[in-house]
Amino acid sequence: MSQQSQQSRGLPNLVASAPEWSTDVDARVSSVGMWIFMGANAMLFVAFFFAFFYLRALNNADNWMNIWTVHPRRYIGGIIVLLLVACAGLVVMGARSAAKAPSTARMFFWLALLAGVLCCGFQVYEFKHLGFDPQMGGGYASVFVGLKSVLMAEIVVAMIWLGTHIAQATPIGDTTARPASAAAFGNFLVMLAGVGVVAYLVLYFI
Amino acid sequence: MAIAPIVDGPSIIQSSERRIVVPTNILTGIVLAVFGYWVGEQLGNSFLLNDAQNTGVLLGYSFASIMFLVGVGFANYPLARLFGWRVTPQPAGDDHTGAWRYLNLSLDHKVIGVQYLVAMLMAMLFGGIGAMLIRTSLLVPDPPIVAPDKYLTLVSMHSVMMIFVASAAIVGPFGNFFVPLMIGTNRMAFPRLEALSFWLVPPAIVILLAAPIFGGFQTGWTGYTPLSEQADQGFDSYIVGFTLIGLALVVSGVNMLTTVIRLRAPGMTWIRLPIFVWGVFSASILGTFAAPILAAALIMQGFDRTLNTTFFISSAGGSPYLWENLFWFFGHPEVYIFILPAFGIILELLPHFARKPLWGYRTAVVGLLGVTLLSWFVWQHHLFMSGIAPALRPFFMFSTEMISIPTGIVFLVAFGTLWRARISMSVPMLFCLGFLFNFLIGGLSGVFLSDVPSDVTLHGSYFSMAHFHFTIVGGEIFAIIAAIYYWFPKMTGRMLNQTLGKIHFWWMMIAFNMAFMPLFAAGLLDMPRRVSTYAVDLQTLNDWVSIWAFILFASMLFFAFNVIWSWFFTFKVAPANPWQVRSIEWMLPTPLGRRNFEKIPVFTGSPYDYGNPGAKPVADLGGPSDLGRRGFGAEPVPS
Amino acid sequence: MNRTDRTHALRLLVAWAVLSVIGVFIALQVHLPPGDQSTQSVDETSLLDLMLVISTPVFIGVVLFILYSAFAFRQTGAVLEDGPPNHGNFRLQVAWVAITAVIVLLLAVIGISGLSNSAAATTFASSQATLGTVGSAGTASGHRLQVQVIGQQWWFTYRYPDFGGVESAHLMLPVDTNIEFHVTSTDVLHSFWAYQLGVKADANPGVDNITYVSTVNTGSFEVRCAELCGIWHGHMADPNGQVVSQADFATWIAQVQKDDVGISLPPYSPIYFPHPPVKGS
Repeated sequence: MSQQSQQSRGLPNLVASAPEWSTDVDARVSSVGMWIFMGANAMLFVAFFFAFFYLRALNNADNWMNIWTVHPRRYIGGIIVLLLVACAGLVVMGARSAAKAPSTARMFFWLALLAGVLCCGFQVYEFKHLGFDPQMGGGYASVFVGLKSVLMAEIVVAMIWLGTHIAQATPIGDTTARPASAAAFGNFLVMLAGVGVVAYLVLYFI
Repeated sequence: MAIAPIVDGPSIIQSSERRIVVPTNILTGIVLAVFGYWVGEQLGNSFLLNDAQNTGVLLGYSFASIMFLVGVGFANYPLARLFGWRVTPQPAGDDHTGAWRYLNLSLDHKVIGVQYLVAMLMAMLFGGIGAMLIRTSLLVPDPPIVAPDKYLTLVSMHSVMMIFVASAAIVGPFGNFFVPLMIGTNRMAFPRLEALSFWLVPPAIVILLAAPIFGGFQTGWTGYTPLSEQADQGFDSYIVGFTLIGLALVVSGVNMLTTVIRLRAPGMTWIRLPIFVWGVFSASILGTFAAPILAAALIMQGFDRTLNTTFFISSAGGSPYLWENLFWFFGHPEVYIFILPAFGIILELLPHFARKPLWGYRTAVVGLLGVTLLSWFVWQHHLFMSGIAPALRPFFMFSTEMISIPTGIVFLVAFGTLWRARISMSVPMLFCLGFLFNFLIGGLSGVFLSDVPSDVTLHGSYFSMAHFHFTIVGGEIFAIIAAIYYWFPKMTGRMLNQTLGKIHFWWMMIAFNMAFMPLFAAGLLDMPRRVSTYAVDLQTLNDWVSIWAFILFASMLFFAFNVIWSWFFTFKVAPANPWQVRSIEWMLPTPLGRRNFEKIPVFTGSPYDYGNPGAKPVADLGGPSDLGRRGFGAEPVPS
Repeated sequence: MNRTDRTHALRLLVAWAVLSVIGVFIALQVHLPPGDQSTQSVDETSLLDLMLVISTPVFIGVVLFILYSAFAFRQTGAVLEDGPPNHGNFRLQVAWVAITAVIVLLLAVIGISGLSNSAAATTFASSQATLGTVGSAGTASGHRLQVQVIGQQWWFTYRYPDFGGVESAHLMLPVDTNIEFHVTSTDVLHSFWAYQLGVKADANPGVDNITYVSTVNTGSFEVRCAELCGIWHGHMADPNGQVVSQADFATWIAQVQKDDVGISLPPYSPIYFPHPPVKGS
């Protein structure tokens, strides 16, 4: 391809002379950006927790927990949360070794992926065997289904994201070149795990 | 999708050595969107829920949006990563050239700014046509020209469309285009997120415009339950469209905040930040943290409509109050998402055209941040009459009135800047002064609405409708138009015709005030909002309003003519600094190169330092190049 | 402050004072709603009047400033010249913030006191707290006439629990009476807006939203729905509300009771099943 067509097709030849795209600048950006995004994401769940306490306090038509609603079994919820926490912890540990030992990081990431997929699997199982039907009404049932499915949707997306880190955790991969991006992703998963823990305490014990 | 490695292209200009073979462009996006809709609808209907087929429509819209983004090219980078291909932080250049470049995914913030500008003007046109149909229908009191259900659909679509416009029309075009220039960086923090924040908008607009296919929705932009539960699948447009806009606010906010925090050039300290950047920054704070609340509330509505949960059904353990609280907890910061960047524009333009330093820069920043902070604590003033927690009314009354203080600061700063200035009365300045007048009326009428006893009479009437049109149209839209006249030469390389601009200003200013001022009276004469019919004795007033509204719309068409004529049919490239102002974007050549700065600039002075013969230039564009590598953030200014 | 500053300021100040006096005089001539049918509407009218009077000088001052600077401070020569490099005046800023703060505080205090007046010397009644606790008139909340306002698509009906729960399609109220509205809805949100009475309260399904009014003058008033409630929202209006003398009210309610023999509804029910089945005009 001639120089002329390169110029017309895309950015001019920059890589050598574009310091703003060096990996260290990118790393500085990813951590702050992730913190802001985590704040935004937290607000999403704040709305659901608000719904929980608000509807519980109102208890309209005595239907917060109606006769068809029971607390779902705690041990399944506990397994889900434990798997989520494990997933987050493994990603954090993997991210720590991403720069120096990509193969170790990769192993941690694979284990995390396993935990995350299992977590989603148990979540699906729990939805299938809830013991109550949200169609029968009830504030609790609504919040439970809403909060848990939004959380699960985020976990699913996070697992795809984790897949990209697994694929890039190679000696020439991007995760190795920019461990900060993996660390930021680890922070995100820790936040999801935190939401999961709070949701577990709120939904199963209150 | 068939994916195969591609071997030509040198790695230097591509993010990965291998590429996805299917060309990703807007046409692929549209094809995939149609396919995605079909799949989503089939899937949704296959669940056989007792949901009036809302699941199908909701999933259809969602899949269509996702597939559109995939087709446009947003999946390329994640897929390349997922396949383990080599990627670099530097995004590939867009492969397209000429006008086609602007119709496709581009990661250049300048292209995204122009894309946003055009999309927002088009959306404004759609919303404006809605307004014209509304005013046509209100020419006669009864029977209405437009049937009530269609009328309310028009009202709802006009309002939601204009909310889309208002929430993105400053941060989108001008924030994306000028913030990186103003803080001296060649890149955005997250160019893909930035592009995503734009590419979420077209699907949102199309989905909203599709609402009449399914019977429209008669809920207004507030979407209050249980009325929304009665609505047909048209309401699904509201849910998905609004969620997409909320997502756009979040991703644009994450990108904008990170960019301003992390990528300022050396010497660009926080207290040297142009006031426009402060406006965008504070609006981005609100957008990032308020929009998720809306998204959550819309997800709850979606669950109520599909899975038959009962978040908002009071007879089954839910509460409409939950929606009202969540909606307005987002909704009130939302209106400051509209106006904060508008304040930024006005305070940015005033010093340049008054040829004086910005009077009380730090106070102005405090004012903007004060509005940002207070706007989280006022949402229940929309709910004074709702019966929610009457004991909290005094608090919300007080917090609402407190907002007058930072807003008053903005006015004070404007006045201080105008005082003994040498005002160059060009078109952007005219619109700035128009803004001050209109927003004054909007603000003063807001005080009437903020006291509970007077709100009893005014709430839900045309008075409040006139109030927010004065703040949003008279305020924000005037600021947007000022910004278009001001920055158009830098964005497009063409000056807008100034004579037509002056005519446009007087035409729009007069028509706007003639159209909306009487609506305060309509509200005081007990005309509620969103009515398709009204008392017969108000017909003269309403006809007057309608006629002036048509004239107002015509002024916008006149403006559109000016834009199109000057952009595409004048061939004289604008000078680099037509306004002869100090700000850094005007130190750069017109048209701008693809790379903003050859060397990272070093900021040495304030952009507003007029009247000071010894003032240093804003920035040293030819600074030592090694600063570029280390030099992001507020490093000490080399003297 | 130098001499030029003083000249400009003096001119502006004089013009502002003169125009404000004229403006306030004009503002005082404006008749603002909702009128004088109840103590609440009197309060609201006077508050609106007060706000108009306060905001008129503000409005005049700002507009005057904009116009004055547009004419007095514009570029004259062919060459662009710069204004004086003033970067701010700290004392002026503090003064400005103080003045706006005082105005804001004043308005808030007036608003809050108006709010407690409109609740007519009761504590704020939470909409939930009174649900079902008010058995009949005069037990929980003093000597007030209880009226339940029921919003439904697309009309309001009114029940008088003090008179056996009889129901009317038009709102009739006795004069010189403290009235307690219990506003609820059977379907979607409505907002009960009795314009001349100065009352507005949202009707929520399953909620008993309480609001008060004390009638002082007879006359008719208009009831409207002020919250979007579906396609006939615009038609949800009844101009036939009336405040009548107490004797007329007694006659009227007796007639309604006679027409409505044999109903036995609970005096309050936030979930409401309309009776009689034909409602509205």
